[in-house]
Amino acid sequence: MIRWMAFAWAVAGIAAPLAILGAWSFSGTWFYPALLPRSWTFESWRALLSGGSLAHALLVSVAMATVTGVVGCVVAIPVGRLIARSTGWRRHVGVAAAFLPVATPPIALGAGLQYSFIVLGLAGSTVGVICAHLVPAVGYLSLYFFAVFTAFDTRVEEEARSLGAAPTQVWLRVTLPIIRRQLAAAIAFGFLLSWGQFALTLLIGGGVVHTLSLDVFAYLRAGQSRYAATAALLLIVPPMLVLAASRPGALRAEAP
Amino acid sequence: MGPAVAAAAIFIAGSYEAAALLAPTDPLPLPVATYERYEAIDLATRGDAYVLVLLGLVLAALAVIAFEWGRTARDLPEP
Amino acid sequence: MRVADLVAAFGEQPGLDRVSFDVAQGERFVVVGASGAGKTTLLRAVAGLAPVRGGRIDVAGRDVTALPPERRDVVYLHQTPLLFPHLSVFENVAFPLRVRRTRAAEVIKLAREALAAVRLEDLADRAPRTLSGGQRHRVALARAIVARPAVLLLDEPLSSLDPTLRDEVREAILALQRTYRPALVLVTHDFDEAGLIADRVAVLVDRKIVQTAPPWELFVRPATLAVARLLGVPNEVHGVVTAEGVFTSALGCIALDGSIPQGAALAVFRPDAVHTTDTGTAVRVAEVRHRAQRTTAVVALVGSQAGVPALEIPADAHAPPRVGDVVRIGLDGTRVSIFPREAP
Repeated sequence: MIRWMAFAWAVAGIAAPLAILGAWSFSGTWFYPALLPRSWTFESWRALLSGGSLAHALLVSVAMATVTGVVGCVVAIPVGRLIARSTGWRRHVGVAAAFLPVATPPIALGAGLQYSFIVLGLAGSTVGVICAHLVPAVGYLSLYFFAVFTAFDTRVEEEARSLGAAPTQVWLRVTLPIIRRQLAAAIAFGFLLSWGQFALTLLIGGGVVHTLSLDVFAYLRAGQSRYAATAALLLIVPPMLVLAASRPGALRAEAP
Repeated sequence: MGPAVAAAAIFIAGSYEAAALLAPTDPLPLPVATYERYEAIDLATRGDAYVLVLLGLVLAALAVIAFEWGRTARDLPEP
Repeated sequence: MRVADLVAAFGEQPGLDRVSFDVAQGERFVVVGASGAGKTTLLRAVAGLAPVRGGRIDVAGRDVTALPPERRDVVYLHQTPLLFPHLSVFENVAFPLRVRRTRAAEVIKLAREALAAVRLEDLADRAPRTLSGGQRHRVALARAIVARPAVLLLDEPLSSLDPTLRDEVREAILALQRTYRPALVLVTHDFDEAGLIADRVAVLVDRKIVQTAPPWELFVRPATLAVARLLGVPNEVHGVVTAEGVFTSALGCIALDGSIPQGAALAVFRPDAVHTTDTGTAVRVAEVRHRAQRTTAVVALVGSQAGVPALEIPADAHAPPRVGDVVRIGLDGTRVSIFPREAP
């Protein structure tokens, strides 16, 4: 009984804000104390579909998040494996070093990176923002792959080498296929880390790079509730899809 | 539970968006205060911003130490 | 394969101390030793999976000491079968051929042959997790042998198995070895297992090989006291070697060939060196031990005698002696090993 109640609360907690956002995104005029909007309109959705700035922000967000997820994994896999193979103080330092950029407030990260990025010519560019997103993403994903490789039985790689596989072949034919579900989940996590970034994008992007997060903020500050709600809905839905797709895989990890 | 508490605490403490949108408090939350001093027109406040950045970094480092200590305290001894 | 003066480490511990042996093609060579003697280190060093600090390893006439594992033509199999979970049984067996870029038609032919050799052709499309323990072992063996390595190294393949499974896997190993004829090197701590499989057995004691011999010779003629103790030879009797070269103890005299110096010595022998006789030494039965395949009796000399602990002698399972019975025993000198006694 209690479990069902808790489940109902959880669903209501997710469904209710989504419903309110949905109402706002289609609202024409809606003032307190009305329970529902006085009039309805498709204006913001039409603007999205006709390729306005909202559509552009959506595409930029998706592209940056995808690149962050993939590149983050490419860097984090060897790092996580190295930490997993370390022992003693090296392991502690490795875990702490991976966790620090994740724990550091993004504002602090952005303020710290901004000067260097200006000098490097990366500030105010999409590439620069991706590089900035990679800082916490690689940290988080390194921790993730540290856990993956701690549980990984490296004897199966030894067996593969003994059977005639060169180290690259072991990676491509044995290790990566065995961890492919965790890899998919990791790309999803990297995607989500970048997708939800605000402060880093704001500071490094310098107002030039528009993502959905920034647009939600800007619309809210400008009192454009309808556009803010539309952007917020766009912000929520892809992560929910990504999580739904990757969670069964992350749970059902194969053991050699 | 300790490491999870440390991790959750530092994430919430470092979050800018929710604090900026929902909680104009006095005094300001650390991320909001950092951002306002950083982006202020008066560049003299940028020094204050960097001090707050370092403070945020120190808090993050403490959270990381607490997290790692808690993580290894509950692990079994290395074989 | 020829291994010469191999020195290897195991973590911080010294693992092997100048180990040398040869294995011919098609030969079954078993290395026996206690846990920690260095058996796994030896196999891993030969396979290229453990660092080597000195010595030389030759396989099929080639010096492979400095080569990486995948280029040595040596396959090392772990104790538990480590099949690739993301590949079917067929693809597991085909793996060594695919990484060597063998032609597809050849891969199919050779993999099918290997699966047929272990009688698992019907399971080719199954996933490894659906197989039983014995089937997994057989797939691992087929995979190891399919690319026809010169040397196959098996690390305690039967130790953790129950008796039925042990027979199944042992038969698979022997069948594959007869068909493909690699040099087979197997390590175990079980001398009985070694006896069933080996053409020759090497005994590893304290990181060195102390005796290499066919199993029957090893079992009746252990070269050192350490080997005898490892074999579990139960009977040790203290005595003295006289100036005339005769070993004298409470159980009688045994003439020696002069290889043991005069002085304190130890006679070591299996129960089958003892026989009952009307004129021998009197002993009293203290305990009767019934085992699945044989029965023995533990006896002590009548009248306490220093230097003669309890002995284990054969007993008739159908008419076992009773505790307290007195019997007379004699010793067959040809079945006794005599060693100079170590200083206490």
